[in-house]
Amino acid sequence: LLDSVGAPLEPLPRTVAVTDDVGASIGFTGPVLRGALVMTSTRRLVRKVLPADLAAEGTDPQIADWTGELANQLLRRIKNKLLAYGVVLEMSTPTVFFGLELARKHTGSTVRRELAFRHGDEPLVVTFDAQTSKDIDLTTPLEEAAAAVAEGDLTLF
Amino acid sequence: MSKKVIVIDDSVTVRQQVGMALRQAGFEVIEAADGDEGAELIEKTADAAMVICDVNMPRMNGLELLELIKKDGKHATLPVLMLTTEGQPQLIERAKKGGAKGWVVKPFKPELLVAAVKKLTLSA
Repeated sequence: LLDSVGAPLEPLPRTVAVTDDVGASIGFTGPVLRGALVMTSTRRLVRKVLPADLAAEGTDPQIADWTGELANQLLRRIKNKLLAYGVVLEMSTPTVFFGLELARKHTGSTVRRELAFRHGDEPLVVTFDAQTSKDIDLTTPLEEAAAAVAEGDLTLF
Repeated sequence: MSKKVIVIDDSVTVRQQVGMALRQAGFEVIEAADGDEGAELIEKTADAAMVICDVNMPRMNGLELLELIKKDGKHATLPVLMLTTEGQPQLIERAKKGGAKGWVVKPFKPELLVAAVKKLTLSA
């Protein structure tokens, strides 16, 4: 996702302290999976990946808006991949926050993945926190599952 | 006179991106931030040529707005293009049945969007 907006990421070693100051959280729910995705980064990185025509300004409201939109697009990618396994999610709209020393509290979820990346010196951390039901099976894609439409595609009816 | 396009999306950045692409192509763009605001704007804008609408928005989502527009005889013929990160076939089918003219998955390609808007506003 970040590569597509001009900021390719590399994994960040877990030992490196992250100094993020902006983040977005989106909740999701469905019959077999519910939880939240949290994406945190820095104003500097979000400003860098603002659409080219808007990057010159990079005000806090623009950064907040774009952070929410990026988190939205990221969760949507996950949602579309899960569709192949018959897992359907409904998403909330993003909540964006600014702050220092943002900490993530483990809520006792059954699935928790925290992935840290960096672009140059700027970090980006994604936490996927979910409760699953026993019925979830992500090992074999369903043959009859309808594939999601690809990004950038335009279909006229 | 420029054709008027109503862009409805809760992200101001996306509205600006769409607005920029369409204004450069000679369209007039007016914006709303959610389905409720969009419904009001459509009601007030008798000469709108088409609507571009996100799906996942607060207050009223894009599919609910689409169904509202199509139920209301006054605006039933207004072309509506859905612009969203959603790629779920069931939602696309719902939009198609609801009378939408097309579906674009974000992040969008400006040249494709402009071409679709030109096509859909030909008769406006």
